[in-house]
Amino acid sequence: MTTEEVAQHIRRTPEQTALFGSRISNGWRTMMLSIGYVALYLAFDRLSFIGALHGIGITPWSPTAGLAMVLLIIKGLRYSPLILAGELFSGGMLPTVSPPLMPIFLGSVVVTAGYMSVVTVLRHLRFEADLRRSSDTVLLLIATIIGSGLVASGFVGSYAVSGVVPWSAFAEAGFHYWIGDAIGIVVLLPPLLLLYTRIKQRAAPVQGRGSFHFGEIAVQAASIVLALAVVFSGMGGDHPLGLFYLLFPPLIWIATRHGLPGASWAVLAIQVGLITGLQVQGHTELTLRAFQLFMLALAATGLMLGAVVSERRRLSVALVDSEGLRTAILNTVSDGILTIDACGAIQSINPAVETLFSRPSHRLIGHDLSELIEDAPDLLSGLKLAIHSPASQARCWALDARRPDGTAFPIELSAARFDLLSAQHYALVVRDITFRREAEARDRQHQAELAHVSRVSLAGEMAAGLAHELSQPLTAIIAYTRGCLRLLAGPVPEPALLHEGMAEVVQQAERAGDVLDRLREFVRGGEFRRALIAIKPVIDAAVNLVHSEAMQRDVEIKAKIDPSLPIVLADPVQIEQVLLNLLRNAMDAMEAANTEGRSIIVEAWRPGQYDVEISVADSGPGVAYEMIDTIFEPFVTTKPLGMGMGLSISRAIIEAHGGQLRLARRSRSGAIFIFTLPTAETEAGIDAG
Amino acid sequence: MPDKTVFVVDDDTAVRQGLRFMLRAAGYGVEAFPSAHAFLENYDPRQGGGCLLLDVRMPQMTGLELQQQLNVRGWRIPVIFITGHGTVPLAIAAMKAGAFDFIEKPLREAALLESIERAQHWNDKAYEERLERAALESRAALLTPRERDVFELIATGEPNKVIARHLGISFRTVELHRAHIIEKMKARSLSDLIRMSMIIRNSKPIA
Repeated sequence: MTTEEVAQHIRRTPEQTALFGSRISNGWRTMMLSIGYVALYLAFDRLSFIGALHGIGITPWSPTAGLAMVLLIIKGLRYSPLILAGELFSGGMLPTVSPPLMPIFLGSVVVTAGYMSVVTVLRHLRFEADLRRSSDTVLLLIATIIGSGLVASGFVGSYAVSGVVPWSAFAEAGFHYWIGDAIGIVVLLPPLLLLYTRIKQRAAPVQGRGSFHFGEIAVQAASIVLALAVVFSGMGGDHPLGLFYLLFPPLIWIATRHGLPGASWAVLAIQVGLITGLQVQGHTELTLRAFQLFMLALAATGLMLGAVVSERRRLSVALVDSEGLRTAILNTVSDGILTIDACGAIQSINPAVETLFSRPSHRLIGHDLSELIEDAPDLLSGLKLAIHSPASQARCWALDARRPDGTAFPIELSAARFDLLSAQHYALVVRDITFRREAEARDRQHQAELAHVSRVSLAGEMAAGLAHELSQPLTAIIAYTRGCLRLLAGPVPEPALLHEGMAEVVQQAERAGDVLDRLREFVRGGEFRRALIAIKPVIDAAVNLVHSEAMQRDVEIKAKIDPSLPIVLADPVQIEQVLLNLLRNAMDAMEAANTEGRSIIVEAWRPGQYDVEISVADSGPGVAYEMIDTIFEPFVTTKPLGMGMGLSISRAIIEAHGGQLRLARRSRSGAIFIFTLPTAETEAGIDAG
Repeated sequence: MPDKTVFVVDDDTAVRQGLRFMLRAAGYGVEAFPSAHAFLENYDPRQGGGCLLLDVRMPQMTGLELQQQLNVRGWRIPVIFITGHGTVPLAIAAMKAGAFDFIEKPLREAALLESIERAQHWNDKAYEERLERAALESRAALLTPRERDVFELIATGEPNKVIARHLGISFRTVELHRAHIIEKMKARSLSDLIRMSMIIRNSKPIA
């Protein structure tokens, strides 16, 4: 739908509402309209009643038929009783004869029903009364000619049945009636419909109309008058229609200059002129009808030409508008839009491309795409691979682009193929995603820092357990050292025993060092360091860190790790942090509930091709029903001294790794938390895709 | 010198063996066990003397539970608790349960040896009373509620007939209860039992 159509639609809607509203609220208006219509109808009928065939209202032209159609098209079928009334009045007031009532009534009904059918068919074929499209005019002409033919045979038939018209004259009478009605509609309907449309749309300028000069109009009117004068001058010799063709040039001139509105008014003027001329000269009925047949052809030609001219004018205006809109959009968008040919040479760009790549347009157009984009050859072959997909289907790539000074920046590029003059071209949309990338990096950094803070506090919470972990080797070291000192001070040196003691001292010192290393690694800085790692050492490290705490709290921890697990792409410290959170949560829950037989089972297995799944199951009280929905939210905790950050940070960590952390069981036999990590192959697959 | 044997119970191999190494170098006979159960299975109470270095936290049976067992069984060996995470409530609980001493890891040799030395030759009246009371309480905890009722009435010096009437049970039943009580409390005689009840009663306000 073009903007113009939208505007038309908006303009039309309130008018229609007003139309339906007036039926109820404005009875006076309807009455005035009815009286006006019937009066006009009778006036037209009277004026056009010339050379009536058999004296029953079969005239060379019937403007009343045009009037009836206008009413039905504009006001709707509910005004059809007025048509019937007009027909009945006119039939009953014929000046020459007084036919019996039966055929008058029958004829009127047939005529009314006939025009109602024509209007119904037109509506069904989506005829628009504003005649904007040339197809509307064509439709109107065809419907008029067929419809009035049917009305004519029905009308004449009803008089023939009544015996007013002899059956022998049926064909002739029907033909005359047909031509009369058809010319009446063709001449009167278009100007009245256009006038109506114009009045209704007076607020908006009518598009597609040519320049409107009174001088030109006057010359054109004069040309019609001149042509008519020549036609009636008798210069055509014996045949009265000899010079009729002279009426074509002025009509065609007017139609090409003013479109349908000009053509329709010109046709009406010519018709009035012809009728007047013929009346003045007093031609025979036969001549009159011959003129009307020619007139029908003239009118159809003029109207169709006018309609085509109007439509083309409107389309060209719309085209200029949409071209303007397109240019405005291309100039305004911040994305770079460019077209290239199949070899990668740039053909057209929008201004954003110049800004994006910091190059003036003369250094872009005709240049190769590879001067701008790092992987342009790959991109082109990728585009060619996509050749079998539908032409309009767009593809998206993340690439690096270059500025003239050599600096690179990340872009997102989408491309679509289109064929122009049977050669392939590509339209590319380029977006600078530097800011987005930076924001993503910042988010990752924040997440890593948050995880670090929480890890340090976690280490603090575990201090008691870690102190015990250190005091064991220290106790052993002191004991061995003291023993060695005593041996050295003793009377008999015992080298073997001394050696054993010192070896143990070293081993225990190393054990203490390991504990410190683990702790230091755990609370190290907040960077996100992903590496290809096996999952087992991470689980072992986490279980080791809580080992002594578990002992103190009477908790038995078992790890069941599938030995064939694939490597994963992960930050081991962050994964260890998640495990520690889950392990300590489990211990806290079991201690708070005073569970008998406290145990935790850590399992790791591979449920499918793409994931490694790690579960932490406890034998505690499970998770309370009302906690399920909020357990992963920050600041939600059941612990008296808890911050409520552990699970929320754990979930953020796992999601940053492309996995999921969920509560898999919450029953009274204990809670199970499961998290997944994508395998290294899966990650590689995603990057490649 | 059997009276100089030091028993060590610790689940941490390095600590256990380190203590054994040091104490042997210091001239003690050392027997080390990785768990409370291993100690209970191998210790012979009749040999007498010695002392027990006992880790508080251990899987399965903790040090405190082992001490309860010693009390119930009437094995009078001085217990020195060693712990890596000593807290005041834990120390009080251990001392009330009859511990001889309570030492935190990492151990200071001098403090440990001093404590072991005292334990080997204890003639500490206060410790003895504490141990006695702890032992009696551990044993009394094994009595059924009915037996405890009977025990309290015996302690007031009532004859069996009065006790039977008072509790609404038969004379025979009271005699049966009394036999059980004497057995569980490891009393040598009725007067010993009455003495025990007085010790326990005196300790009540403390608890």
